[in-house]
Amino acid sequence: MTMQENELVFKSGRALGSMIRTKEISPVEVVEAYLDRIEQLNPKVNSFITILRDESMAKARRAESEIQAGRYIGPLHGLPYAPKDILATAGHRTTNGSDVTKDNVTHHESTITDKLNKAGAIMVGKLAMSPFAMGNAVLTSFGNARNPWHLDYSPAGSSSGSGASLAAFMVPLAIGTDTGGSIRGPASANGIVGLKQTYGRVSRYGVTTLSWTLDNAGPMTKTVADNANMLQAIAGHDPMDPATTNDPVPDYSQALTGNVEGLRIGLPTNYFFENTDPEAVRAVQEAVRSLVDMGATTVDVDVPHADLAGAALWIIAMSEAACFHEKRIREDWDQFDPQIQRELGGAMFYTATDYIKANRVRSILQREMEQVFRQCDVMAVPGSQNKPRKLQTPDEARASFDEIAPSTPRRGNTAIGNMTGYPAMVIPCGMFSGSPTFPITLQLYAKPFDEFTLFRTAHAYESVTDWHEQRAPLAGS
Amino acid sequence: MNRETKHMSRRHALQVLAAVGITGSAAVEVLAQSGKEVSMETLQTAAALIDQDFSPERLELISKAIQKNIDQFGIFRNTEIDDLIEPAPIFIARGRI
Repeated sequence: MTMQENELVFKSGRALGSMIRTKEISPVEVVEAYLDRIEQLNPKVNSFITILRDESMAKARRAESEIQAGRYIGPLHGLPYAPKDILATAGHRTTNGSDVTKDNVTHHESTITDKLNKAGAIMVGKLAMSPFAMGNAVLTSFGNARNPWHLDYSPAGSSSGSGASLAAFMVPLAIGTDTGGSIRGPASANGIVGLKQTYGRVSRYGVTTLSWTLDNAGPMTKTVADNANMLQAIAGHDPMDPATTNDPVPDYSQALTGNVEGLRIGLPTNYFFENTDPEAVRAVQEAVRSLVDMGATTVDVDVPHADLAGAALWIIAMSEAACFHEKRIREDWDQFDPQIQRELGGAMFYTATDYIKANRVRSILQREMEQVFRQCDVMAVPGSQNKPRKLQTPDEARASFDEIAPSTPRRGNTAIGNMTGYPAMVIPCGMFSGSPTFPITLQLYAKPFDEFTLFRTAHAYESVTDWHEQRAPLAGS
Repeated sequence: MNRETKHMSRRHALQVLAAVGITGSAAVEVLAQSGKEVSMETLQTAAALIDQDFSPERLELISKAIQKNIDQFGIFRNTEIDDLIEPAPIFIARGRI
């Protein structure tokens, strides 16, 4: 790898896109630089399940020819990206991170990857994940992705490979999925930007289901501007996904002004700051103060039933997952990792009353969020609650299996977004002290279909801080 | 295993804990430590009721999830909801805010 290529991978997607547009660099140079880095680091980070060198280099050469011929498409043209390996891509393996589907070659294209491809982005591979977005990767033949801030630690899940690859500068743009926090958790653990947009804003077609009513697939990036560019490309109605709406997609680049004058920030007085590391609380408060210094105001808000969001979400998610996987539970049980076996098996014993009651809780939470957003434009809560956990070996995972408790009710900070459909974005806002150190993040919620205000707020904050520029040291084993 | 223990109702226990200032997940934790245990016999009967034929090994594994659920979802299951609240089975974008 040459020095020039090394530097390329540390540039934002927006900067690379600008250089490609002006023909200062070629998509071939960019894609090759990232492929070299992926091949160099993947043995350590284990964040890619599939690497597509030949195919992506061919696409890069084609993009180069198009741009040279004056057929530049837009800001993603020639930029590398990678989706979580739960998005179907035609002619490639879509493993879902599970041994159940480890040899599954899909013959259809997810709407998201189709739109990114048509926007000129170049898929360089497919990313590691928790099996079926809910299991324990360390108990599969793929193994767990590792956190670039310290390789002995978890990058969180389920979009583990998306978060880790971005933090390791192995790809500038990634796609994750989020059913209860699986974009925002890894965004926090790896110190990157993650968006769970409004339910219905982006098509779920071609994304393997975890929960029909809670799933979202969205952009994960190093910067807010890159996130806006990605959402611009993938948002909109899709006849293949009946949940998508016809609402016009705004020009998100118009949100990147750095101006938050008059913005009203809601600060919850209950639940969201509880059981959170004091350093994370202080960092979020400091981030809000920065926005106030720029002209925003704050108002106290309350989501009285926030503590029910995690439990209700888990009942809905696992009930729908057990229904979706019914045949595989019957026929492929032994190939599921034990965590999925346990959770889906347990979900078979939820009652219809549990499921309906969870949906009544969803009604309550939606009403309470409506009340909150009558008073404010964004709600600010911690993205990180604690440092990431240390990774277990498979033996340690089996030995401590009884202590694994994915069905924890402490999921409310992210679960409320999935339960209500509201959009939420995580951005870096600090670092935990001590060694090893890990990023701290701020999570912002906005009104349905108001991702514009999320970008406006997050970009303004990013423009006066440098937390997003911190580089993971790739330390550890 | 055929243990029979008399418990005060879970809701009552939560109310008692709340009265002494223990609420939310802390209350659930306290109840989990004194909670009821699901026996394999009960689980086998329940599996038969939903027409599932799980092996004893599978039921043993599943029992751990069910036990966790009983411990952790108590706060949810014991929440009383106003009669006027209908379920929202999905997020409906139109007509909101």
